[in-house]
Amino acid sequence: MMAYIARRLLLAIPTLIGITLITFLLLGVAAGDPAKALVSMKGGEYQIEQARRETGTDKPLHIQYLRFLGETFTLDFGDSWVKNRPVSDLILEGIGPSASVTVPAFFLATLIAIALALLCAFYRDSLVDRLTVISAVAGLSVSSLAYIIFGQYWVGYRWNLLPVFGFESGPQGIVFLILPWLIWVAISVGSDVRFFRTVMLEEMGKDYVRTAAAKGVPTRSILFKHILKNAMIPIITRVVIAFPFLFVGSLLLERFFGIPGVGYLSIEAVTTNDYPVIKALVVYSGILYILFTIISDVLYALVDPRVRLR
Amino acid sequence: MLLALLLGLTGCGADPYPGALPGEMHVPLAVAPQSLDPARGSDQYSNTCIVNLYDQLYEYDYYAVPYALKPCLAEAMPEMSEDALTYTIRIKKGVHYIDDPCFAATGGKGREVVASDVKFDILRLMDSKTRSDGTWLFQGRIVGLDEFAEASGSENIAKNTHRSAYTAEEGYPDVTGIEVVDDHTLKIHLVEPYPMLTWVLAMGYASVYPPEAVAYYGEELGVQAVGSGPYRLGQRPARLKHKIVFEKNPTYRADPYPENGTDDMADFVGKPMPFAPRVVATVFEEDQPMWLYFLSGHIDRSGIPKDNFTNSIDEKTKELLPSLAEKGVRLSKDSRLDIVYDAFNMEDPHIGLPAGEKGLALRRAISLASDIDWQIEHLYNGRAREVQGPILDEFREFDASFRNPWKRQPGETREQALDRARKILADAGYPGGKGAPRLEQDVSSGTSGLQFFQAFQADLKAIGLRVDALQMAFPDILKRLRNKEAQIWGMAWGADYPAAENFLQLFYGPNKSPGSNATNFDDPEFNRLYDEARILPPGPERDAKYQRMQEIVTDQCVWIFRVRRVLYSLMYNWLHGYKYNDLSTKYFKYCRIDEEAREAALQKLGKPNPWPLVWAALVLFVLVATTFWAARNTRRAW
Repeated sequence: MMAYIARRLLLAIPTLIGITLITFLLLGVAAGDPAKALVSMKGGEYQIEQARRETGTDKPLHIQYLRFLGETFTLDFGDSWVKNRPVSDLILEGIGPSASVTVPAFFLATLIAIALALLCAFYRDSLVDRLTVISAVAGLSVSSLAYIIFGQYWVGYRWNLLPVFGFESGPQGIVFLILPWLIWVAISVGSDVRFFRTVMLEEMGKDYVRTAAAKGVPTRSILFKHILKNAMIPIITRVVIAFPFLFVGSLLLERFFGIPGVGYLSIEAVTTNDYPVIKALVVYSGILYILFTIISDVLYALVDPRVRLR
Repeated sequence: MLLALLLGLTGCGADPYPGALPGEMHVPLAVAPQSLDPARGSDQYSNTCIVNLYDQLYEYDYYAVPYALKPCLAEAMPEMSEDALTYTIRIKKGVHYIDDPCFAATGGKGREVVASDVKFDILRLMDSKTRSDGTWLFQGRIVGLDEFAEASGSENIAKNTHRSAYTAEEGYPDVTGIEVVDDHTLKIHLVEPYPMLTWVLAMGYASVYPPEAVAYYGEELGVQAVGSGPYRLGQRPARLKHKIVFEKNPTYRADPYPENGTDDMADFVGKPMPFAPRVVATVFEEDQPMWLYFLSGHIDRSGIPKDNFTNSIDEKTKELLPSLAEKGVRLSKDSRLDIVYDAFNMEDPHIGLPAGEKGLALRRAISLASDIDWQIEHLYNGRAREVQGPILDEFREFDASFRNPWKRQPGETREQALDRARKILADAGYPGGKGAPRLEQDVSSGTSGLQFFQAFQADLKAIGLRVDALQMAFPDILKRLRNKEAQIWGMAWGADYPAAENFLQLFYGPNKSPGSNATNFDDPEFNRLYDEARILPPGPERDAKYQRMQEIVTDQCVWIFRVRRVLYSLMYNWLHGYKYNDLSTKYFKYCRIDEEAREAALQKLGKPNPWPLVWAALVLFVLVATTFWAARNTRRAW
């Protein structure tokens, strides 16, 4: 297994170089001279020259790319062009708020979805199953913006049950997170239920389930020991691959609820042409994605003895 | 159960300011400030924070109409030499910075503000490695400063964000134009007369801070603040993306409430400012939460989002709806010192100067076809006033009798103006628009940009011209303007200081792209007049030159002068002393909150409604019960 992990980590290097190359081509070449957008209309040629010199965009392209590669492998992307603060500090400051919204909401939504999916699969084609599937489809057809606007208007403003907006660190901040959590759950549970239900149904139709039932194995054991365990591979894939995105945050929720997370930072960086922040976010996301893909492969082997990592 | 548990937690209530102080003021910021560093905070939201945390040499006489300045850190208005090339500024004695760990020599106690701080701050602003957006304010103005700025960009000088001095040993030339005579006297020697200098010294960029703060905090100065202003940061480092807390500065200098303040503050004239013990500025990037916060009484004042205009203002009378007035909300209407315009690239081969008379005819016809009244009514909800040219009515050079010849004249109907436009096109060889080039307008992304474009497109269609939209993000439009690639674009320019020069410089040839003159207009007569006028003090001679410049740009139709916006702001009646000022956001210290009135109002506004929870629990119970019942009566899956 260690050899497999080492090989996958080595393979990550060319992948990372590919990510940096595409990012550089998009930002450094196709998007044009960033200094011209960094200086406001009040500045002129002199200020643009200054901006080029201080951001290093006056250097030849290959030098700029080599610098970007160096930054990628040292994970030091320098200072934000707009905020003039280290990019790593900005991202670290944002991870906590982002994760405080996404991680609990994600687990809550996943647990609810798995439970509902098991219920639907167990009583497939019944009223319960149909109602749940119809609700799931209806739920995922509604735009996330509609959930946010509804939640803020009714739950926050009209009923005054939860804060409309805001963020606080520490335990007193939980009350500000409940509404974003509920909205996240409402947004994501529908598609999760549909996916997990399909996985469960496929497992339930297999011979070993029928055999276990025929042998008189209790229903609870069939459901939780046999079916759920065997359905874990697709569940793990979906759950683990979603992890990197949890740290990147939720763009809409963070913007509408004033949560100072990474999603908020990425919107700001894109709208202000803050290339160091954009580059760092792309590279960090790439690294997280690669790492979690490896973790999900390792988990396959742990939950299913038939899987061997070579 | 989980849902019920979560909803049960709502017993904590919806108070967004746990532990608020009595009299605390709550204000909105529409965009997160980029930086609290005075040299770096270029956006208006950063500026709002900076001017309330730091002092400048001069400040706006906040309530004065027309705009006027008064001394802030300076003892008096500057003494100017006869040739207007030397300004002597005396700084107040005994003004101290806030206590801060950066003052190691005094054990953290804030030291006195001295003249050398001002020199250091201007040098830091001009230091190439600071990458300030405010260098244009001093560029070419102060003796030796441009040479300093040039040298500061040298690769031989290492970037040092903790720099507390600019020394000759490191290669910085001495800037003789900023002379520190003694701790409380500063002389500024100018390259040429700069009548706007005092206005510039009242801007956020000219905030005064100690070099020790830069040495101690370096880049972190963007989220810290060590000033002598009425407030200091109540939460450090500041959380710029969400909520910025300002605390009353306990060592703030004597600064009494002025006599020309608002009527509701008559009892407070002469009393020491600031009044609010704490100010919390919450950042709302979206309109809906800000509006709901305002309706809940969680912020004391607010603008009116476009989508909520009809819910708050009577469309006919343009006054506040009774439903809001009953809640104790007041409406204030204030003209902004800005111009919204459509601009033409004068170097464009189809519509600019290279197109000669045909280009001029197109520009004039488009200007005439623009239906400004319709736009004011439908795109601004009536919150705008038409402008005739670049000189606004607040400026002394304003001529009330001036009419832009290429706009609808008094008594002229829309149809008559369109006929005039059609005739101009026909005379230029484009009858009914036939043969005219298909035009392109750069439009910023979003529905608002598209709405303005559609209005522009409809106006052009009325005279037979066709125009396409090139929709893109604002930074991309900026790049195209710098590269002289855009043909037509819409934009707004807000004044930096109350002077017509601030608008006229947008047509000055040497400021062409990539400078601020994005139209690339370069007229010899205009340039000569501008050069002559910019060093003249206010007076009839300068007025005449400015007015002639206005005639040139309006006759050439470099811009379609559309409107200046009128800001409608709402505030609760427990907020006293607030008045909108388009050039200064240093208003925190003038405001006072009547806590009793607010408490009473919030009791009515913010009562939780538990019934939805009860209903949710009932529905949940019915659903769960039905599920179990259905499950028991359904056959097993295997």
